[in-house]
Amino acid sequence: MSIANLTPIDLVGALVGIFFTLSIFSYALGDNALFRLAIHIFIGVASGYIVVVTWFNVIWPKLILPVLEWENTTNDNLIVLVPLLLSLLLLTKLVPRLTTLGSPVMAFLVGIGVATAIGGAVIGTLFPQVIASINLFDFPTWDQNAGLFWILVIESSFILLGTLTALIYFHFGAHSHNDEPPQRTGWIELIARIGKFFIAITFGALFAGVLMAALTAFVERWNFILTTFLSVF
Amino acid sequence: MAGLLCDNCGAINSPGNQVCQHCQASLEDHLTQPEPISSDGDVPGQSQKFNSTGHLGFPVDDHLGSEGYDSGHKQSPLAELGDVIPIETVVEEISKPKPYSLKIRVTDAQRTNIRLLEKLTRTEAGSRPTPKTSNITTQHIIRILIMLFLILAISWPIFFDPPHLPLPAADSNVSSFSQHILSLPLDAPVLLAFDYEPGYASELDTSTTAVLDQLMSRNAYLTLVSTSTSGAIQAERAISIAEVKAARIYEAPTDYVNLGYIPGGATGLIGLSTGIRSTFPLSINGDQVWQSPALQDVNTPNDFNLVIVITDSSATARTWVEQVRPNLINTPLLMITSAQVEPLIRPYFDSDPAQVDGLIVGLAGSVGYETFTGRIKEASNLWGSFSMSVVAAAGLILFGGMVSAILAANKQGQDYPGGE
Repeated sequence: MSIANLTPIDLVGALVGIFFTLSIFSYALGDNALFRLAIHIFIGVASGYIVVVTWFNVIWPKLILPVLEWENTTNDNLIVLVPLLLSLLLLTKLVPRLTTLGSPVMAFLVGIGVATAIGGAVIGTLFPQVIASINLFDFPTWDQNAGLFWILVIESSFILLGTLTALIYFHFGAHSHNDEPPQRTGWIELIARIGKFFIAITFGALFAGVLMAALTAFVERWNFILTTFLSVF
Repeated sequence: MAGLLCDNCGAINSPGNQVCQHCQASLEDHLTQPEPISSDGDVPGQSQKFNSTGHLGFPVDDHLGSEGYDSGHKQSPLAELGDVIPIETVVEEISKPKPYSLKIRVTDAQRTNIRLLEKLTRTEAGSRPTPKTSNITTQHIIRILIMLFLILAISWPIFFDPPHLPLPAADSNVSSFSQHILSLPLDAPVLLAFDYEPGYASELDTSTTAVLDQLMSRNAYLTLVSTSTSGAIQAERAISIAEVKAARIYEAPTDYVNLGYIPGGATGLIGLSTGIRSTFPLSINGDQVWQSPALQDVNTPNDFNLVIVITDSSATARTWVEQVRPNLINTPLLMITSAQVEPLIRPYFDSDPAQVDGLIVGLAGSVGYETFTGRIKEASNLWGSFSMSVVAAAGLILFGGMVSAILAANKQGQDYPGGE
C-alpha cells in the first residue's frame, strides 16, 4: 500500500484512526486531555448511533408504523395499540406523581425477564450439563483402546471431582457449637478447599483469556500504526 | 426604749418626739425601730422574752400591757412576732449574697478540646488547598517502561527477521467448524449473528473474514442479525472486508440480507426462535425479503442450514445456547469467540451431546482456521508479534511477582526481626 493507492477518504480515515489510537495509548502517561477527547467522541458517536438504530430498527417499524397502518391491514386488530400504550405507561416512571401507572408494566417486564433467564438456565445449561457429566462415564461409547480407556477414566473423574467440589464450595450452611462462631461441618470444609483450588484455576484461565484478548487488540492496533506509517511515508 | 423611725428621711428620733429632728416631718404613723439587744440579752428598758426554745425574740417594751400592745405608741407589725422568729437563724440567713461570676468555669482539658473543635469547624467551611504532587511518579515510570517493553516485543518481528515461529495447527475445533461449512449445499441459507463490540474487531475480524470467505465460496445466502446495537454496521463492514479479501462481490438483497438489531436480549432471542418473520418483518433497508427464493421456506432458525454466532461476551454466547439452541433440531450452532469467552463456553462444546458444534477462539483459532483453509493470511501476519507480546507479558508478570515476593519478605523481616 502506498499513498498513491489511497483515496482521500481512505487516507483521512487512516490518519484519524492513528490519531485516536495514539490518544488512547497516551493513557499510559496518565489521564490527559487527548485521552478524554477520544473517550468523549467515542461515547458521543456510540450514543448517537444507538439512538438512530433504536428509532429506525425498533420504535418506528414495530411500535408506530403498525398503528399508522392499522386501517390498511386486512385484520383490524386493536392489539397493535397495546405495545404503544404500555410504552407510554412506562414513560410515566419519569414523573414522580404518575410513577405508579408504570409499575404494572415494569412488573411485567421483570417477570418476563426472570422467567426467560431461569427457563434458559435450567433447560439450556443445567440439564444438558448434568447429562454431559453423567455421559462422561458412559463406558460403551468410549474408545475401546485399552491405553486410552484409563486416561479417559482419570480425565472424567477429574472433571467430576472439579464439578462437585466447586459446587460444594458455595454451600455456606454453618452451625455453631457452644459459644464458638458458626462453622461449616469438617468434611464439607475439606471438600470446599479442594473446590477453591479448581475455582482459582478457573479464574486464572479467565484472566489469561482477558490478557490475550487485550494483547491481540494492542498488537493489531500497533501493527496498523506501523504499517500505515511505513507504507504512506 | 425604741427609737422612732422617720418615714420621710429614715432618721432615728428619740421616742416622744412628735416631729423629726432632721426633716421636721410628722412622726405620727411611724414604725418603731427595735433597739439592739445587749450582750447579756437584755434590752435596756425592755424585758427579755424568751420563748420555750430559748430563742430570743424581738425586744418587747416593758410598758406594754398583757396584750403586749402599747396603746400610746404605734408598734410595727413584726413587734407582735416577738419570740417566734429565731434571731440567729434570721441573722445568719440575712446576709449579703455571694457574688457569683458570670464567666463559665473551663478546665484546661476543656479549653484544649474547644480549640480543636474551633479548628475543625473553621477548616470545614473553607476550601483546602490540594497537596502538590509531582507530575511524574514511580507509577508513571513503571507504566511507560512496561508499554515500551511491549511495543519493542511487538515491533521486533516487523523490523527484524526473527526465528521462524511455528503457527498453531488446526485442532479439532477448527476442523469440525470447517467441515460443517464444507458440508453445506450450494446457496444454503445461513444465519450469522454479529454480537461483538467494535473494540474486539481486531481479534474477531480475522476469523470472521476467513469464515465468510469459505461461506462465499459455497454461495451461501447470508442472513445477518445482531443483539448488539452496533452489530448491524459491524456486519456490513465484515461483508465489505471479506469481499476484498476473497475477491468476490456480495450484494444485498440478492446474496445476503441484513435484518438488523434484535431488541430485548434473551426475550428477543426467544422471539427469534419462535418466529423470525414476526421479529423481522423487513430488512434493515426496508426490503421485503421473506418472499425471496432463499428465504421463502425459512420460518424459524431451525430452517437455516447453519447458525454462526460471533461474540466477545460469554453472557451473549450463553444466551444463544440457552434460548436458541434447544430449538435447533437439525441445524448446527457454531461460534467464533474472543479468547476471554472460551473458559465459559468450552463446556458447551466439549459436552456430550455437544451444544456448540464448532468453536474458533481468538487469534490462535483464526490462524488455525486460515492454515486449514489455506486462503487468507490476515491472522498469520499478526502471529509473530502476538507470540512475542505474550512471552513479554508472561515475563513481566513473573518478574513483577518475584519482586513483590522479595519486597514482602523484606518487609516482614523488618516488622518481625528475629522471627518474633
